[in-house]
Amino acid sequence: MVSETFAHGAEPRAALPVEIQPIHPPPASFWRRVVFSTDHKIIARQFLGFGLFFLLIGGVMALIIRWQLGAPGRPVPLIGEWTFPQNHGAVTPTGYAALFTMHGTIMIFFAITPILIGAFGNFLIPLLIGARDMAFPKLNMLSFWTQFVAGLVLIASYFVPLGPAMGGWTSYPPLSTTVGQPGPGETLWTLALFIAGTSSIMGAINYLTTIVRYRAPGMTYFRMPLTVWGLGLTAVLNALFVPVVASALLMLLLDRVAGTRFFAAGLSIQTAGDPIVYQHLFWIFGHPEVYILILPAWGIVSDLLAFFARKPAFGYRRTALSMTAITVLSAVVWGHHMFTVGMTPLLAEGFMTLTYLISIPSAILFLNWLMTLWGGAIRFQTPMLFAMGVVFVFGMGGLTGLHLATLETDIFLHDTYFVVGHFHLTMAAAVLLGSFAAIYFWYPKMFGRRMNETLGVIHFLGTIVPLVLVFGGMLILGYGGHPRRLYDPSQYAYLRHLMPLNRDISIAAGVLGAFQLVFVYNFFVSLLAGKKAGENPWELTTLEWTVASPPPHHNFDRIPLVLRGPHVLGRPDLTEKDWLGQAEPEPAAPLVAAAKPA
Amino acid sequence: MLRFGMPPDWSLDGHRIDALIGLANGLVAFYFVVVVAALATMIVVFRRRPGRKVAYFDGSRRRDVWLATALSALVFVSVDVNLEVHADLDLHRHFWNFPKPEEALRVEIMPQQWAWNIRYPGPDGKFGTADDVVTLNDLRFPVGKPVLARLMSKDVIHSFTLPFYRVKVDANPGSMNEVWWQAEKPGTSEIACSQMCGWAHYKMRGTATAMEPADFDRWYAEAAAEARAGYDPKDTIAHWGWNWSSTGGDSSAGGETGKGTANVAPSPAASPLAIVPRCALASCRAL
Repeated sequence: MVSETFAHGAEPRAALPVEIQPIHPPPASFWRRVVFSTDHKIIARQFLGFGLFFLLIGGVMALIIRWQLGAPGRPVPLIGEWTFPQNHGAVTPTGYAALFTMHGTIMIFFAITPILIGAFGNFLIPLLIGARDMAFPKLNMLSFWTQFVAGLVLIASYFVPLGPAMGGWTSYPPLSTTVGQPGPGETLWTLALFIAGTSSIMGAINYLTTIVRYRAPGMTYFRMPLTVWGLGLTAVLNALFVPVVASALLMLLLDRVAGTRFFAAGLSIQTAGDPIVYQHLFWIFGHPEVYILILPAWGIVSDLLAFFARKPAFGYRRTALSMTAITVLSAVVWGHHMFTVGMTPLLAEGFMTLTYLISIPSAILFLNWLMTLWGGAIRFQTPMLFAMGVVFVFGMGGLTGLHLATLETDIFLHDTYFVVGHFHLTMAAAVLLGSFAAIYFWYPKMFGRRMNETLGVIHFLGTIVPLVLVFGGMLILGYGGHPRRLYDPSQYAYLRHLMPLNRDISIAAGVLGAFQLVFVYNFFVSLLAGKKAGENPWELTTLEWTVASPPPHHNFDRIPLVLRGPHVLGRPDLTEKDWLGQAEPEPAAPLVAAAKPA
Repeated sequence: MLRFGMPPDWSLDGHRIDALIGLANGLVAFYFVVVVAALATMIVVFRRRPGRKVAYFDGSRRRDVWLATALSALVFVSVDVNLEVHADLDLHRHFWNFPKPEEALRVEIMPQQWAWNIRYPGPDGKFGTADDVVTLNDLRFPVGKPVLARLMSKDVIHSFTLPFYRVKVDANPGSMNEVWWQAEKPGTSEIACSQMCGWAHYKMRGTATAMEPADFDRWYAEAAAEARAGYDPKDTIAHWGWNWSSTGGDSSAGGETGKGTANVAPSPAASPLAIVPRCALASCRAL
């Protein structure tokens, strides 16, 4: 019935996506095909390569940081003589400050953002909603190349006099003004983040427009895969809150280069700027940023758990609405990053209460994830292992957030390694595992070949075990009162007994780093020698598995007509196979008309 | 051999923070064990086996809605409401219940890159006078008497931390914060900086010494006598004491009127040294 209406073009909503998406032939020239491509699938690969490159750099930085904390003042093996020649290969205090600043900046804005949002946002949104490309393909291309320029500016900041930014990834003024850092490195850092923010805004506008306007006929919001929900909500947060941090960065930039005094204050320079305003602006963006990174991972995990348990996601609507609720709440809790700054008690208590409210949708998310597995027939393939890893480490990370949301306990734990452990478990460990789940899961669709399953399992075990030891160890450090960002913690007598723990965390971090080589090997070897994937290697329902791997330039020969939600798996009346695609007609239409779609 | 755990608590109220952290640990551990146990059960029981039929349900039944509602309510009440009530009671009764200035030892702390400038009012009870005791990285206070500290940074943001007294508050440039604590036993511990403040952040260490009252009084009197002897009226940079009065007055040196200081009001002719405090904790008690 619906199908007929569609075929005759009588239903305007259904006809629109077809009319506005004519099939264009793929570009012939090398430059337009590979470099300045407007194809969302190529741009996704560009973002993936860009993100993985910076993930490697940020990861090596983390290992150097851990080396310094595990063996303070000892020469860094292999690269020490090259990176710190003036200190006989050992990390210098300024070098250390630069390392943790750049590690945070790179991981957040140049590794995770490009991988989860840039690569998978781009690759998945059109394919999963049945579109031929993004709404604004040229803006999409511009978004990548803007991010690319930002990456170049950031790298350039390492090669200027006085070195790169050293004020932490939060870059609080006055330390980040010329009072604290007179060199051009911090200016370039500010500029790089501003440019990267521009790229994020372009991406967000594109994603939102695509999701709103380009869904295939029948693809209602509540039939979209939860991955698209996660990516869409991330785009909302990016569009709303990146401009806020951009305003702060712009004022900081003016303070640095134009002599304004928005954020500089204090006896040493005798001006009446307000550094606390920067903190508010930064965290109005900074807290949503946590969810900007984790929402895509949540969406992916919510889908993968259902896919590999071979049954519908439990509480699909409640998952989508809980993610939406968290998106809204994330905008009004930023003050909990500033509990020691000296805000009025009423404001602080308000932020504490609002932060607590996040527990409600979070509890629903966890219930839904666990109940999705209930009664399933779980296939423990690599993407599923990583997805369940996300549930585990996000459980750890989310729960430790309660200590920090509570004003009273935060007095002791604020700015300690407890915070470092907490946010790494949520926005590093959980997001990283989510990214790996996504890479292992969509690699066949992206590149047409499958990654090696055995190596995938080894990579998973070699990642999750040290990951939990590293960040769990950091929680214990923070519990002992260990402040963040100390070049040499043994300066403090009360921290000396924690140095053995610091050393053991560093060893675990080294193991974690070493196991990533398995992934690198698997990734590249599978590109050339992996098993051919075929259209639908995981036997799944969503639209991307109905097209070739990798998909043709225009994705869909015919825009599909979507008939049901994304999780029709294991329906009792299905006999030949246990799944029914989103656009697939019912096997024996008249007889099972009563069956309830998920 | 690994040793860990919180540092010892030598303060009057620090045990309240420790107890609440303990409660949070317990609640968090409980729910974490529940999640992990559930995950482990699913992995074992519902792994793929030949001929296994999945239970086809999508959680949209009425009882599923009730389950989600009840569970999230249980979590919210047992964890969040629980923690919030404890925290609010402790904060209002103790941590935000500031001592009266005349009953406390008042001290001004002005950190800079990378040291703690510490100023006591001296025997005359006024800051910015010739008998002010000024130390560097050496904070001393008597056991059994509240210490009321005001903090403002000279340059970048620092965070004043006394791990053994469970004290942590930022020292911002251009606005003032207030914090208090009380030592319960004598001993020497450390001042740490918790906010990244430049490359030597890790070296910004001071000592915090709680002394028997008689010992403290002896040291204080000697230090004040030395300060008076060494006072140089022309060395204006050394005279950074702040105005604690609510009525303004001598703004450059901050004359002390001894009147109620619950509200730290601005001096009319404010120099950069006597800037309106951010609504510091004591000043917002009315809330």
